[in-house]
Amino acid sequence: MTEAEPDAPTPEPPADEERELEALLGLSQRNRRKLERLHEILTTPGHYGTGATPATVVYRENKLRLLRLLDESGAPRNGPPVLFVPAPVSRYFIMDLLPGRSFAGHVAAAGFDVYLADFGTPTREDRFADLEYYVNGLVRRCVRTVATLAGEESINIVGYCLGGTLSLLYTALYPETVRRLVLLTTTVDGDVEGGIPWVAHRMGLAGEDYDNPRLVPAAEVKSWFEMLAPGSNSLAGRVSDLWDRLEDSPDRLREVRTMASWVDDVVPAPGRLLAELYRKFGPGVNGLMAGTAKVGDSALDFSAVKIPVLSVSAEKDTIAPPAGVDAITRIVPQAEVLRLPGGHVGIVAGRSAAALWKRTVEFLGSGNTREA
Amino acid sequence: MADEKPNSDPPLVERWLAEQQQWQRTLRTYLDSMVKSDDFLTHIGNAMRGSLLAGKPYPTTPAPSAAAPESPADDKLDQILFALRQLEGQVQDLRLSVEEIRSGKKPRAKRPEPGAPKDSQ
Repeated sequence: MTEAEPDAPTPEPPADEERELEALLGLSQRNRRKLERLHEILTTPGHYGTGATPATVVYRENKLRLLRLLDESGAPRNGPPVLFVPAPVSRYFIMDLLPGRSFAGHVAAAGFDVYLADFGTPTREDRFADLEYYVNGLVRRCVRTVATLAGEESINIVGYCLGGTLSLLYTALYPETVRRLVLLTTTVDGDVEGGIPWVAHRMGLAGEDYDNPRLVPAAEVKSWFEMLAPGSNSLAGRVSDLWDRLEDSPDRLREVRTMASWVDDVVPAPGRLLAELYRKFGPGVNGLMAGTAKVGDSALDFSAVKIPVLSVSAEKDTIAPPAGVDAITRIVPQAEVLRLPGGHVGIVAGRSAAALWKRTVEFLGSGNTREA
Repeated sequence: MADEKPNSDPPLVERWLAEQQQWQRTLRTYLDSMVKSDDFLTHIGNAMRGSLLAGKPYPTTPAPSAAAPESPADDKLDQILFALRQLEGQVQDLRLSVEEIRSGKKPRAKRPEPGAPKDSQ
């Protein structure tokens, strides 16, 4: 509306009805624009569901693919080798989310020869996969492949969430093959209340049958995560969140969509693996802290882990509460503990993730003599 | 679908009529996309669940057969398939050992064999 000139006669104020109609018109326009923005976001291309950095597959086994990141010319880098191990219950590309927002890409750009494990999507027969299959099988063969390609005896490992657990167990079994270990939001103290093990416990993981496992549906795994995310654990809450977001800029919404395409793309989980994790490391048993944990028939000896270890927790992590992560120093005393502001995903791939990326490159860089 | 906002406001009734026409255009755009693209149907279905997940439907509980076998024969077949997966891993270990020997490296000692299927399988 234009302002009235000072000398002009003051216009008659609109009647109540007219004011209401004006307000309703504004509301209608606002909601329509949101729907138009939603249509625009849903129909324009974006980066979803794959890694952001050019890569080549250097190893395949079952559903696993081991990716080696390439430089701008399409060649592998010569720097010290680093293997990223994400959680097998979510998609790998959180480590390589977007151009300019890629943890693995950042480490690669610093000159490291970066490999990324994609565990793929398990199918029904994979419900029999256990810790032994993952640690002594898939992770070990990834490490062997990386070491062979890089011509090195030992490599660096960065494990995220449950991928960090697998990496830690692997390192305890094969310490001579790991040069430096970075654990991101990796729970070691299962007795610390909260987080995914406790929610899964309350939602029925205790009843998961080790001997006759099922493939735990993605929707069920997702429901555990949703229980930990206030505001998004109901359909109405999620729809309301999305509706509110539709006033953001299209660029921001495209970023949100990339992240949502990771958060909501949970994969089914092997029931035997979950049952074993729960029985060995879960609340009340806490085998990692108690020193009773085994992988297959092999007892885990954390005193054998003499290498530098960096363990990173997130202040607002509801999936892996920081106290349960920072407890690493009770089993690996030399571990450096770093607690960053942010949540479980935000510290790895959020807008403030640069702090983690920088520290990781510093940590991996010291002690890795091979130049890029 | 840009807004057509005039510089000086026309009467309220005209603006309401224009708004109504804009809504018709918006809804027609949605209908067109729904008819032309299965992907759009998936994405709008996800949005109605509050998700911007792209490329696939929002996870829902699958048919029971996708999670657990329907018959003992299916169960046995799954066990055999998984045992083959484990064998695949052992073959890869052998291949890696050969590569290590070729490259002059000492083959890695392996901790307990992951291979054999468990009794319960």
